[in-house]
Amino acid sequence: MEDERIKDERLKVLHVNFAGCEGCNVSILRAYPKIFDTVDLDISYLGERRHERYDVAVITGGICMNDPESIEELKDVREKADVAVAFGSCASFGGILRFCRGGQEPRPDQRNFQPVNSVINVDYSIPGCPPTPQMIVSFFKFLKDGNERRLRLFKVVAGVKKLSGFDLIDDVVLTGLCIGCGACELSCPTGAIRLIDKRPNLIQEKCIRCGTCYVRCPRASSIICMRGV
Amino acid sequence: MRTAVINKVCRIAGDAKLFLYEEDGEVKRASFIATAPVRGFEKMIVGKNPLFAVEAVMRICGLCHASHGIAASEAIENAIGTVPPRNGLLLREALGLINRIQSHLLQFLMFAGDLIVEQKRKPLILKLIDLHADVSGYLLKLGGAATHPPNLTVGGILKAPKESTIDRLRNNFSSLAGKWKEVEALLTDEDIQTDVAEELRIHKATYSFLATGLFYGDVYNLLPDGIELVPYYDFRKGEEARLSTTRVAFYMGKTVETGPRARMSVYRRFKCESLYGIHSARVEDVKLALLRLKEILDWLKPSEPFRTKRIMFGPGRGVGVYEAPRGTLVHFVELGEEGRVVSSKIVVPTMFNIPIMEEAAVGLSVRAAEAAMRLYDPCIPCTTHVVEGERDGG
Repeated sequence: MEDERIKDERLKVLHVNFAGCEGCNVSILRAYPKIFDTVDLDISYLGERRHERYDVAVITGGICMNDPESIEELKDVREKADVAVAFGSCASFGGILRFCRGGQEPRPDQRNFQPVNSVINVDYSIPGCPPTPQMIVSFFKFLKDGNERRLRLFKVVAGVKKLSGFDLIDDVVLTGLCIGCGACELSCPTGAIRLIDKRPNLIQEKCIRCGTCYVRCPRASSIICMRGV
Repeated sequence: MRTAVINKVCRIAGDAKLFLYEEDGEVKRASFIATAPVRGFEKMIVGKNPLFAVEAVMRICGLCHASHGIAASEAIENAIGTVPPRNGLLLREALGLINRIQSHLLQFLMFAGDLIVEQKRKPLILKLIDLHADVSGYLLKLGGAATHPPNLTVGGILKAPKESTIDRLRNNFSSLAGKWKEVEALLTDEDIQTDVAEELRIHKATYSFLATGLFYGDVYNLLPDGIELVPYYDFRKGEEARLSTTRVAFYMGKTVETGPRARMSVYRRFKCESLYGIHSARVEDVKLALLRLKEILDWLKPSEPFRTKRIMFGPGRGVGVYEAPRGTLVHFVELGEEGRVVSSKIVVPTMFNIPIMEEAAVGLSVRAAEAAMRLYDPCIPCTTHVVEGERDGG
């Protein structure tokens, strides 16, 4: 047993879900066979937590500020792990949870939902609704290799609390920086962005404030990386 | 009486606790307490454009996304008096079926811990994940994404798939069916199953069933006014019930089971009175969904429209009924003067199933009772730890 533990040099990773839809969990689970060699994953879909401390905690879903129990749990997860990763838009920027306003039975008091970086320090954020399984595969590869250049964007957005299609329009289209590559259109999970005359047009009622377009845009992501946090 | 508290059984997008009151190794009473925060989608979409409503409700659940999208679209179409063209309806049904298969595969993965002996579990899990990826590929091509398909919208399908795409999917179908055959053989092989599976096979439990269709769901097979919703803490009084953040649903004043076993019992000659029957019914459900998916791929006509051209949002009320992976899903919607959502109500299958699950646990051992919860697939059952404590009287 002792020997086995020494041999297992894989990253110990804990997945925890808060107020989310579980779509991100499925993404992580789908990546499982591909990351199995480098990552020792504890995900509630497969079984119980097996360790006291973890190298990385992958957090999905936003946090309900009216639910003290989950806030405590989130802080506890932060303490248990060396690196905290917000995976998916609800955890990173709030996403669809930014539209919550409470008032629904049986718990009308639960109204305030925030991205996890409102409560704890997050090291990396990976937005998307949900991010593809490939994102988690690449992320762990970069982390394992210590590839800071590739991790830079994830690190910078970890300090950002909200991003949406509106920010993309403001910072890239309005300023004339857009090169019309169409990355935003391809990345938008709701089809809220359509290129018209080679410039993105935002269908406002479809934007769920997930921020994926902003992070995928080559110009916007450079701006945010240069500006830092 | 001893109480076994399972502090973390996950359910729809979050957590649940399970309280089992047991005597002589037999569960006498069970309370399934969902504790995930209420994100309030019904209130979130009030005042919004119906197109946003469809995108938003798909994000209620990352496991049955398309089902919510379909039920909401149906409700809105019902309210404004329109129907999608034939292609739109067929493709919508296909998206729903792919979603059903995705969701059931995940349930099998979750349930493998109870069903299959440990040595044989891992290959099955890897096979299930592999098959899930293949099935998700179909949703990506037809729906626009592997989760929360954005092509699903009011009036049909936003973006018609290319003929070459449909052809490719049709050609890949035999590989998909082959992989399913392998998985199916493992899922139904009684030689590699655990004692818990055996206990579930012996334990008889049948209830009234609610199902509105085999594949799609039909509003005419349901009396929407017959659905009654009660907050859980009013349904089961007591200390632990106050923790619950869910409501439970009754149909025509009765508790009803909904889901694969209900569908198979109402629409097929399926009879299995034991709890294990739910598992068999789910396997059957996937098998039929695959057959039907193939049929739909053959019927699609890429040259014809996939979406109704004229969509005008205006005042009205509508009901959308869809057979989600876990059972009958009902969306009610009311649109106001400008066509914006005035009110909405969503009844999810787990609301019907919670009282049934609690009843089903009675008479089982603690381990099997826990497995029975997962069998009903209350969105995602995941138990992390069992805390045992003493309780006098009960």
